[in-house]
This record gives sequence, structure tokens and C-alpha cells, in this order.
Amino acid sequence: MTLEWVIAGGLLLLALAPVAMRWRSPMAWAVLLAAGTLTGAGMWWWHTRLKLKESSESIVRSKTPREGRPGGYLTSDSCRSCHPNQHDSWRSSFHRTMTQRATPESVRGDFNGQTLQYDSKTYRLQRRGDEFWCDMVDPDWEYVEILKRRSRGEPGPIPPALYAVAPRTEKRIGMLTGSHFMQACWVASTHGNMQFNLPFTYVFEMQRWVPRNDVFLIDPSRPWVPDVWNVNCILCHATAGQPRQDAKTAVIDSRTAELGIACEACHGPTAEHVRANAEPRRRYQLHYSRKPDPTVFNPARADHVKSSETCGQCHAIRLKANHAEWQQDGFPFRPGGEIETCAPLHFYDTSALNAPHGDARRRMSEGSYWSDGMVRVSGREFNGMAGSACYKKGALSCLSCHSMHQYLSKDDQLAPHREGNQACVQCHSTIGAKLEAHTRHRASSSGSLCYNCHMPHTTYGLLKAIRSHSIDSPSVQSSLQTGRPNACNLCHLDRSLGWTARSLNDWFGKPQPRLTPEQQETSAAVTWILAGDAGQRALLAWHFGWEPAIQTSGRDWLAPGLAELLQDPYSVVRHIASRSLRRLPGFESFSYDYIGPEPERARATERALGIWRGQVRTNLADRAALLLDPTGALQQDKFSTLLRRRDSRSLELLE
Amino acid sequence: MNTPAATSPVAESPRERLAGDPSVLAHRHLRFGWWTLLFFLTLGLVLEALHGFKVGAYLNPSNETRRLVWTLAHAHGTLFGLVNIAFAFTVGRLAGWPSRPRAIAAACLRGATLLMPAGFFLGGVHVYSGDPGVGIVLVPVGGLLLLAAVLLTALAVKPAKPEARAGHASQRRK
Repeated sequence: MTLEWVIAGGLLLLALAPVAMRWRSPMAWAVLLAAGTLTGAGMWWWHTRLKLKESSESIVRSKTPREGRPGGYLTSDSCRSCHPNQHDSWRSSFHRTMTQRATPESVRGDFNGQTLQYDSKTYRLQRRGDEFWCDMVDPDWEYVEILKRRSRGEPGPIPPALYAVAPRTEKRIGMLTGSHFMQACWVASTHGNMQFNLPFTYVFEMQRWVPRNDVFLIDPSRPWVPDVWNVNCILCHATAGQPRQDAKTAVIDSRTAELGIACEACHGPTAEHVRANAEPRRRYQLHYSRKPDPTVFNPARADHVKSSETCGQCHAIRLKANHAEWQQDGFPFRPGGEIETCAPLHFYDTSALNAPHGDARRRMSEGSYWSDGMVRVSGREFNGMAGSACYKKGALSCLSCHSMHQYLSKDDQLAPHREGNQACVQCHSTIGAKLEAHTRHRASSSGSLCYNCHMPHTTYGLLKAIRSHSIDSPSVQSSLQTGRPNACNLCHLDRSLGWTARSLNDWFGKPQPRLTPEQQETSAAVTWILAGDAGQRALLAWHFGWEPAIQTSGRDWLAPGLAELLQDPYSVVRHIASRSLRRLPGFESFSYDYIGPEPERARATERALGIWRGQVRTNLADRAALLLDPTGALQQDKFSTLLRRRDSRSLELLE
Repeated sequence: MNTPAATSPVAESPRERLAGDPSVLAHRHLRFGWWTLLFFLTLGLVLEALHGFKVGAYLNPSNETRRLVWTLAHAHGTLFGLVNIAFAFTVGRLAGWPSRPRAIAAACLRGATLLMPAGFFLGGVHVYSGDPGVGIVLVPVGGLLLLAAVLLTALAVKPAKPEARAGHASQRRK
């Protein structure tokens, strides 16, 4: 730094003095002296600015998990010079920004002096220059208090009286999680680089801060507990994370190869690859030979199992084979290697259902699967795919449909030409050739899209229904046994299970299961939306706003079911219902706050029903399945009967 | 033997001799220009080598600023070499250019040749998360010197006299 100043000063003198000497005027010296002084002042200002920026960054870096770890990991920085296109496509993906440091470019939440209230706690958000701060109850105190209470067998929330005397502190937001649908903020503990989240999440769709328990499908009576990034999120929201928790002191000093999901998450450590390819001759030999480079793993050139396991290291429900090892060094899995030895795939465990409430095994099985073992939460696609015949007997891999570097949209990273039936007819070409004979729907209809029948939206996550990656065929029997809505009734919302069973029997010879009169007559969707569990209600509320289903089933009867869900106990169900309701004619500007006061929510249901009752309905014949009488009015008794039968068991979906 | 007519009353300093003799100044800029060109073309080769051997300190995205300002140093230095050569030819053609503004223009041009590429280069030695180091402050100073040099030179180039134009025209007819 000093040398930089000396060189700059010398150069300035060398450049300006000859000009002054040739100018030969006292004025010249004055002008040049002023120029020199101004330049010096400019350099000092620039230097001060750089120092401030540097110290601000170094403080936040020292309090957040370190980037850089042994094991041959470099960072994505090393990849760009040879792979600029791949680097660019990765850089613009949501994988990169899964976890990132808080900067003016990355923060999406409103920090303009916002004051947020969570139970009896106040959080004041503030932006100071390029830094984001929160005045809050000391998270270290809160965390320790929760642990103390748990150890005394008091799992409930901390009493408001205790919060009133709790120490407060100002914390700088160091890291962020999420950049696609919502964003969580993390603040540092005073112990090591442990990170606690704020109890609020900024939801992009709503452009507002929402309590964290109101963006996940969680039992409303469950109190919020701060998450610790270093022992949970680090597994998949960073590249090759190492929690590094001291077994004796519990102090955490985590490090990662890189924050976010970067090149080395899928290609493995690249130090050897970078070293070997610094030599231009080797690079050109590889280019011309078109052979794979043995110094790095490339999922696109691997077999479908190894390729899919690369994605499935995160997009799956996995166990920790050696918890102590994981707590210290993270998973030893490297792409292309053996994942089952360190992180075996988790399957639905019926024996865990008998464990006491709160047991981790029970929580995982209840919160992740339908009762036949099919995954019902988002982000666990590999579990679904790995159980499908296309993967087990065929060569289906994640890359059969998705692409990390050549994608149509960064929303789902589908590869070009994979948005229709092309992905499936790669192998099922005979079906593709006689599409209508197989689907029994017009080729142009949404019923002729393979994934609408074989990958329906039966998983839940991110405030919406998401396609299941268990590739199966519609089955009324499965719906009866598991409660999982089948593809037919998710599109034909106005039809009963009996109608579906008869159609599947006529078309594909599927045996018709024994059904109750209600199942024969009443719309399955109406039954699920009123009497289903919270997960079913969320899925159906979403499908009541799904355009292909609305076009198939009509829209003038959907409002009562959605209106009822405006006062659902589960906040996310309320939100999804209100979103679908606003897609119906006459409800576009319907005002409703899904986390507003309870009486307001009850009044919203009445308002919505009032609007619906005032609407003119035509084609009133044969509407009994939808609980409408011949005049188009709601059959309140049947509606209430289904509501009374609602599956109200406590549910938490672990998306 | 020295005679009074053969020596000036006051000995002329080398600087004054240079200022008074356009051919010396032109030669000096010609030399300066070609050496500048050689230096910055060599820097270009060094930068190419950094590309060839994939040196992270130059190519990694976190060093984007260094890559940019060093490329600018190379590009500006090379162009300055050519401008100095052009200036040398200009000085040779402008016999009536008074010595003082000519000397100031020359000094400004040499100062700019020094400050602009060196400022870019120094700015890239220490990079602070996207911002160049303090050396970058030399660049605008160099830019002002260049402006002054170009302005003085442009003012010195007067419109051609009518007889000169006529001479040119008759030559073209022949």
C-alpha cells in the first residue's frame, strides 16, 4: 500500500514538473501545485473509502461461515476462465444464490426502518449505507433460554414476561438464504460463526415480511424456534459444507468450499483439474480427443445413476450414517462416488409412526411421505424418481428433463424441448406415435401431456403444489389408501372417485375398488378440500386456481370451498386459498390478509360467500356432486358434514 | 577559434535548445513513442501468457477489476505510443508553431503517456472487491494532460494559406 502511494506520487511529480518548467510562469506552478494537491486529496478519499469497505466486509466474513476448505476445493472463480458459458449459466441460476452474503445487490427485504412484531418481540430493521441491521432480542440469550427450558421439559414458547426483560442487541445481517420465492436473513452468534435466522421471511410474491411459521405448513400451535444454519442448512445450501462443531464446547467454526450451490457441488473438488489444465497443450489435446477429463466428474457424461445421485445428494431425504463425522467434517461424498455409505436414502418407516410425538424419526416419516411411502414434500425429487420404473428399469436421470447449463427458464431449469411430451417419448416412442389412443384425450388437451397424468402436483412446498417425481399412473385405490389425490381428480375437480374408477376401468381395465355412496357421487376434490388433512387442503386449494383444472371443471362453483379455507387453522392453506380465490371472476380485488386477526378472517369467508351468492350461475343441472342444489345454492348440510369430518391431526410438512 | 558571431551571448541550455528546435523534439517523441509501443506490446504478451496459463490472479471473476484495468493499461499505453509517433510527425510539419506552447504540449503528452497507463496498472495491483486501488486516481490527471496536449496541438494546426492551396492545386493538375 505504501509503495503504491510512493510510486503514484513519483509518477505525478515526473509528469507535472516538466509541464510547469516549460510553461515558465508563476501561474503554472500554482496551477500544477493545486492539481497535485487535488490528486493527493482524491487518492486519500479513495483510500479511506476502500479501507471502510474492506473493514466492513472483513467483519461480516469473520462472523459468517468461511469460504475455503481443504480437500482440493477451490471455488467457482477458478472455473470461469475455461468454462465461461457454464459459469454464466450457473451464475444466473438460483443455485448460486441459495446462500449468499447480505449486500445491497442480494438483499430483497425491506429494511427502511421497518418495525416487525412477533408474539411479544419487536424487531427493528434498518439499512446503514451498504449494511443491513436488526435491533432485536439477543438471539444467543433466546437460544440458550429455549435449550434450558427444553432440558427442564418445557417445550412451549418463552413467556412474554421473560421477553420483556430479555437483553436486546443490534445485529448485522450477514447471510441470506433463498432468492427465488422468499428470503431468510441470518445473524451471527457471539460464539464462533454460528448463524441464527430472524423469525421473519421476506416473501417476494407478497412483497412483505411474513413470520417464518407462516410460510411453512406447520401446526399453528407450534412455537417458533430459531434455526441454526451451521448444523442444518449447510448440508445443501452451501458447497461441501463442514459444520465443525466442537464436541466439548459446542462452539461452531463452520467452513464451506463456497456459499450457495456452486460448480464443485456437482463436479467435485477441482484443484487437481485446474492444476493439470493450466498447461495449454493438455487442454488442446483434450479438446481434440473429445475424451472426458479424468481429473473432474461430469454428470452429463456419467451413467444415469451416478449422474442422478449428484443431484440426489441434496434433492432427497437422506440419513447421516455417521453423525459425529458429519458434525465435524460434513459428508465425505464426492460426486461420482458412493453416496449410500455416508448418506443413505431414507424411506418411509411405518415403525416410526408408533414413536412418541416429537420423535425425529416419526416427524420425518409423518412429515415427508404419503402413507404408501411416496414423497409428499418438495425438494426431495430423487426419492420419487429412484422409486420409479423409468429409473430402476430404464435410464431416466435428472438430466433427461433438466439441464444445469442450457435451460429454458431458471425457474425449473428444464432443458430445451423438454417442456412437453418430448422427455417421455424419448423412450416411450410407441405411445408418442399413438398419443390419443393412450391418453383418451385430444392430443392438444392438457390431458394428453404425459406429466399431467404420471407426475401430478401431489407434493407440497414453497406455498404451492409441485409435481411429484414418482412417476406412476392414476389410481383410485391409491387415493383411497393414502389420501393422495389422483391425477384425474386433480384436473376433473368436479368429478367423483366413482367416475374416475369407472373411466380407468373402461380405458385401461383397472379394477374398480369398493366405494361408499358419497365417494361414488361427491366430487373428490370437494371432499379433500373440506375434509382432508392440511397437506391435502393446501394441494386442493392450489388446484382450485390451476388453469387447466379450471378450464376442465368450470369456475363458478369453486368459491365456497376456497372461502371456507380463508379461516383454515393452517396459515399457508389460507394463503393458497386466497390466491386461488383471486383468480376467479368477481374476486380479483378481494382484500384479505392471511395472517390478519382471526375475526377478520372469519368475516372474509362470509364476504367471499356473499359475492359468490350474488353471482349468476348457469347450467345448473347435475351439480349435486359439487354440493349445489338445482337452484345453484350451496347444500349447506352436506358441506358442514364434510367440514366436521376434517382430518385435523397435527401436521408439519418438512419441505 | 571562436568568434562573437559564432557563439550566443548566453549559453543555451539543452532544454531551451530542444524547445527551439522542432526536429530535436520530433526525434525525441519518435523515440519515446516507439519505446512506449515496445513496452506496452510486451505487456500485452504478458497478459496473453496469463490467459494461456489460466492464472487465477488475473482471470478469476473476483479479479475482474484487475483484468479490466490491466487490459486498459495495455490498450492505452499502446495507443499513447502511436499518439507520440503521430505527434513527432506533426511537430515536423508545423514549422510556425511557437516554441513555448509546443514545449508545453510535448510535456503534457509525455506526462499523460506516463500517468494514464501507469494509473490503470497501479489500480489493478491491489483490488478491493470490485474497486481498483488508489493508483487509479492518476488516470483522470493523465486524461487532463492529454486533453491539454491535444488542444494545444489542434490550435497550432492553422488553415492552409491561399498560395499554398494554389500550389497544391497546380501540382494536382500536373
